[in-house]
Amino acid sequence: MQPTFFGKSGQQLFGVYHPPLARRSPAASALLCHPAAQEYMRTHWAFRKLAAELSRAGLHVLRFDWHGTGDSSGEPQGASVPLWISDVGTAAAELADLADVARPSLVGLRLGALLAALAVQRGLAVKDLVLWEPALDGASHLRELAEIEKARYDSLAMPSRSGPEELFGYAMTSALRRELEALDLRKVGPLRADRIVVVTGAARPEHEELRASLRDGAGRPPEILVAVEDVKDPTDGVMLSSKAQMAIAATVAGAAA
Amino acid sequence: MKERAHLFGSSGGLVGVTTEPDGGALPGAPVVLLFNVGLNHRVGPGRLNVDLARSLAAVGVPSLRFDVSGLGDSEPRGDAGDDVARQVADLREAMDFAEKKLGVHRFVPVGLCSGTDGVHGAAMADPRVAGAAFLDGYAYATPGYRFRASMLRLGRLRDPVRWKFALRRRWRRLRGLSTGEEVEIGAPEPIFDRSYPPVERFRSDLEALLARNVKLLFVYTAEAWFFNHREQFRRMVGWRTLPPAVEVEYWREADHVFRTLAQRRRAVQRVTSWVRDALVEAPARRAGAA
Repeated sequence: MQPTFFGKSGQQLFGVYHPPLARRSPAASALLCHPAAQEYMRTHWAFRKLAAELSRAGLHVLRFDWHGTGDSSGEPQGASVPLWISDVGTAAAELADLADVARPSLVGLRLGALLAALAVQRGLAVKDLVLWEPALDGASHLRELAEIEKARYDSLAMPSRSGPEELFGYAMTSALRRELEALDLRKVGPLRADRIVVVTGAARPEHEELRASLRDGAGRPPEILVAVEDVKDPTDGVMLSSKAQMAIAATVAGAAA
Repeated sequence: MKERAHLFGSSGGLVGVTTEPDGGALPGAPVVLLFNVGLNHRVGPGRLNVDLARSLAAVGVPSLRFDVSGLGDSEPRGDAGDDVARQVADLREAMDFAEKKLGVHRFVPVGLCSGTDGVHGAAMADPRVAGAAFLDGYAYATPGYRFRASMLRLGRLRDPVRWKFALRRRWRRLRGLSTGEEVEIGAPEPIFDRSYPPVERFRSDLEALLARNVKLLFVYTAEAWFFNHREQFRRMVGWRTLPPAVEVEYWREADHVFRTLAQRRRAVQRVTSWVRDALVEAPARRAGAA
């Protein structure tokens, strides 16, 4: 495991590179895209485990923090959707340098899945695109986060409320909120990926919406891969997940074989 | 400000990020050590440690934020020891590394909640610790604490907001929407328990640190266990007056992890100004006057 900063000076992103622990020919790589804000904190451990699993399967793996989040440079107040989409390209270029592999598989969780799909829409060449519990659209995702925040804070004896430009204790400018609310995974059109796989703990009607709207490079709808977690809570399920990680690792490593 | 990622420690398995001020550190500035809060990785809840590192760099103070062994991106330690022993060992390895990398020999560990165990242990064990900050650190109930806690409970009976939350909780439980696991202030959670040193040892430890001229900052929030007034600190330790090297604050509006932006900014500013005023400017002034 190698922690690293990369990208343009002044806009450096933090990432952790996991070199392959098994020989694989041809070489293959995977780029992991975190969710945002509070979900990023809660799923860090799951990403570390997923990266280790992929690395054991012989892939070069890079996971990175979005601009203005985690250890990356910038403030959340300076974050924007175009900047985050360009982060995917920057990280993919870094991974291509490290691995000497042109097309990575791309794995994104929640908002990370939506941003990963948008990066592919804007021309990033990838093998598999794995959408892990994807946020279907920005507006419902923000509403859901606000509901989780409210439920969690209401259960405390001393509830503390976020300010107007704040979500779950993280800065959320009205400009970023508007940009996120305009995103819709069902409207990104055909994506130039070899395959699109949706990984979820439970099949839901919204996944059929994705099958009806998303198409990979060969015009096929996404595969829906259900990996039932032992922990049922959707957030904790992902944080503590092992089934989804195993399923993703098997999918990405299998395709790369 | 320059940030660099590192692997360090005796086994090379600790992951950390140094944040250095543009133009170099102020003369006499220590290195601030920031690490995990609970199970969060090194960036801290709400990015607290990152904000703090950058705020410190803006006033000329470098820092190293890192994951202790077995948390975040760091590997577990091979040697034995409980959580506190491992934290102390990791903090000392962080000092060894930062000494070589940054050429600084004075350190200020900052801990929150269970992290204060390691800060306390490292401060006692290592003479390189020049200052230590404890956010919701050790506290001991006094008669005044118990009286105020009783008054607080009575006061809550008159607070319609608390009634609303209490009734909602009861309603959710009745409807089977909740298992009743919500945690009240100060009620220890079954999966998380800590043992504090006896107050006599806490006092003798503090006095040993003061004899070494170690500067100490204690910030307690409304969610701290067994603490509800600034004056309680002096009384629980048994001091007539608070020594000048000890700063104590009680923030009745703040929660345990500074959940909101406003609370987090306050915590970042308070720790930054304490490091600058107590640990940078005074030694620099003395050096200048000598």
